[in-house]
Amino acid sequence: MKNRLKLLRAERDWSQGELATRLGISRQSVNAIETGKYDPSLPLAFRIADLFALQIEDIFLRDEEGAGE
Amino acid sequence: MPPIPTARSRHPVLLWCLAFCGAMGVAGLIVHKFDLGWAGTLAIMLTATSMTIPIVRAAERSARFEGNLSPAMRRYNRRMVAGSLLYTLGLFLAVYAYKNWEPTGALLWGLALLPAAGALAMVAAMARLLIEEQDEYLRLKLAQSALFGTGALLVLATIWGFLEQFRLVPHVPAWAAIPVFVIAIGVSRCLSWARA
Repeated sequence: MKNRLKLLRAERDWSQGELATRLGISRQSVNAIETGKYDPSLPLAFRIADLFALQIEDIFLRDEEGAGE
Repeated sequence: MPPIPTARSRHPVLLWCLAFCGAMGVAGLIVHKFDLGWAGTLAIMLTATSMTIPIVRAAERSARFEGNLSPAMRRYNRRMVAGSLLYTLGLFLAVYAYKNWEPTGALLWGLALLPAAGALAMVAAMARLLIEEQDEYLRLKLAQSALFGTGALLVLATIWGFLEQFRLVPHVPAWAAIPVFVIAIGVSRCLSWARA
């Protein structure tokens, strides 16, 4: 599943470590999600969406939609 | 805020692991070649085992660099060090008592199980890490490594068991299961690291 996490993070000028701290997860997890190696659980996806004040579907995209970045 | 480790922090883990293996080998040779008495033997074995402490410290620096050092992992590292020291102590006491006291009955059963206490403490530490790890991605990686270790152990034990049945290979004691499992987990993590 593709996502816009890297773009959203860059817009806020956050490092992976900073985002990880805000989400209460490891930097490695942030990196794995951003690079599409790992799809987060629904609770974590909600936490990410809440942090960026967006809907989950605004961040995580179906494969056929593409990330666009 | 702790200082940010540099890339150099990743390499000492391997060096300390090699130093640990070397120290265990040297300690074994010294114990077999020289009569150090029980106190000397125990001291040298505990000294060699305590080299797990710098390994853990280097591993934590590396994990911090990789961004995957969680509180659960820190607790796991400390439990593993305690387990390895307990194992060494238990093994020494059991062997010493067996050679010098000629125990029988329940005492012999207890002594035979003494080294298992430390080894089982390490297994318990692994289980608690899986339970306590709050980071779902790290937990997934741990579960994958544990499954790889279990699979590797089953495959090796099955193959070795039949080879042994036909007297093609020597007997291996059942306690070797834990070292094989741990080594397989290490291989799994190396493969995961190489793929990343």
